[in-house]
Amino acid sequence: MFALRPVIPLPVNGNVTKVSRYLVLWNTITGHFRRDFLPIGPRLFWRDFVAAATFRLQHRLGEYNVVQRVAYWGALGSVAMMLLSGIAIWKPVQTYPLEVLFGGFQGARIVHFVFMTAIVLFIAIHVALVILVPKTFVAMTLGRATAVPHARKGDA
Amino acid sequence: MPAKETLDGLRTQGLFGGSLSLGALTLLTGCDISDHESVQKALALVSRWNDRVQAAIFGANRLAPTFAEDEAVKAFRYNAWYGPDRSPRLEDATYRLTLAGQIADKRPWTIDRLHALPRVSQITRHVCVEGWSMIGKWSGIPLRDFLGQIGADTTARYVGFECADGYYEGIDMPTALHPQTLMAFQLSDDILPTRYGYPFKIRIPTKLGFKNPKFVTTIYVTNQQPRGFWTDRGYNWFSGI
Repeated sequence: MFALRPVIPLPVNGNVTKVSRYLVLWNTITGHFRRDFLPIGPRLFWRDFVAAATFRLQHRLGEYNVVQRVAYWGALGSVAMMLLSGIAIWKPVQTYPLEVLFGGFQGARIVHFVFMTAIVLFIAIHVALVILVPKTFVAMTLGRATAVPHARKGDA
Repeated sequence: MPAKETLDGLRTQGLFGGSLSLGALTLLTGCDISDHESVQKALALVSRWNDRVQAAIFGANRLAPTFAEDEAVKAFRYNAWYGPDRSPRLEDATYRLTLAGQIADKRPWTIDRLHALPRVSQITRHVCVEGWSMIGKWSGIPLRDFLGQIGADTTARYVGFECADGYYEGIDMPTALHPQTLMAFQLSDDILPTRYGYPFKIRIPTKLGFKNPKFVTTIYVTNQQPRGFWTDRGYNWFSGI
C-alpha cells in the first residue's frame, strides 16, 4: 500500500498485526505520514481529481497527489473501521458497547460490509493504476524510486 | 460417530473451505494447499488458540442482549443438515434423558418430570455461523439449576450432549453455568415442535447457533473436552459470541 522506506523484510510466518503496528510506528517516526500524505483538503482534492479525470495529472515517483493521499487515509481509516466493526460482529455479547456504537448487530454488519467494499475498491483502483504506470511497481516494492532518481528535501 | 474429516469436507459447506482456497490461490497460484497435513495442523493450532482467547474474554455473568416480545420471530427458521421431515420423532412413553459422567444422581428423566421443571423465558438472538441471525423466545430451566438438581460436579471443565439426530456437542463449564444457558422446552410459548428439537434443545445465547444441540438424549459432565459434530468438520470449538 505504501512505499516503504527503508526496505523492511516481512517475516513469512510473522505476526501480521505486529508488522503493521511496526509499519505505522515507523511511518510516524520518520514523518512519512506528515511528509507524504499531508496536506489534504477539499479544494486540493478537487483540483487533482479534475486533473486526473482529464488525464492532465502528472505522475511523479515518490510523490503522492491529493487524490492518492485522500485514498490512502481512507484505506487506513477503512482498515480501522473493519477491525472495530469486525470485533463487534465477532463477539457481539462480550463487546456489547461496541455493537451499540454501530447501531446494533445489524448496523455493525452493514458498517463492516461497507468498509470491506471500500477496501476492495481501493485495491482495484490501486492495482489498475499500477498497471497503467508500471514504473511505480519497482519503487513501491523496494521503497526507492530507482528508475528516475528524484531528490526531495528531507531524504538522506 | 463419523470419522474425522479433512478440510475437503468443508468444501460442501462453502464458507470456510471457499475462503481458504481463495487465500491459497493468492499465495500459491494453481496449488491447493488445503490437503496438506501441515496446513491442517496449523489451522487447528490457530483454532485452539482462538478457543483460549474466547474463554479468557468470556464474562461468566455478562448477559446477552434481550429483546421485546414483538421483536421475537414466531415462525423461526428451520436449520439442519437434513430436512425437517427427517427429524427424529421422540415418543413421550419411551424417551429418557440419560445422565453420565461426574453427576451424583444419574437416574434417567422422563418427559413428564422434565416438563414439571420450573421455567423461565428469554428473548435472545440466535446467531448462526452461516451469517444469519434471528431473535426468538425460548422458555425452560436454566441449565445451571438442572445441573444443581442432579448433583453435577460443576468443578469439572465441560458439559457434553448427545442427541437423537446423531448430533453431539459440548460446552465449557462457565458457559453451562451462565444464567442465560437454558434447557429450552418451549419456542414462542409453544411446546418445542419436533423439528426444532423436541423434547428440548440447549439454548445458549452466548454461543453460535450450532453450539445449541437439539433432541438431547444424554447430558454428561467431564474433564475431557467433548467433540462436536461441526467441530469435527473444522469449525471452531468454543464458538462464543
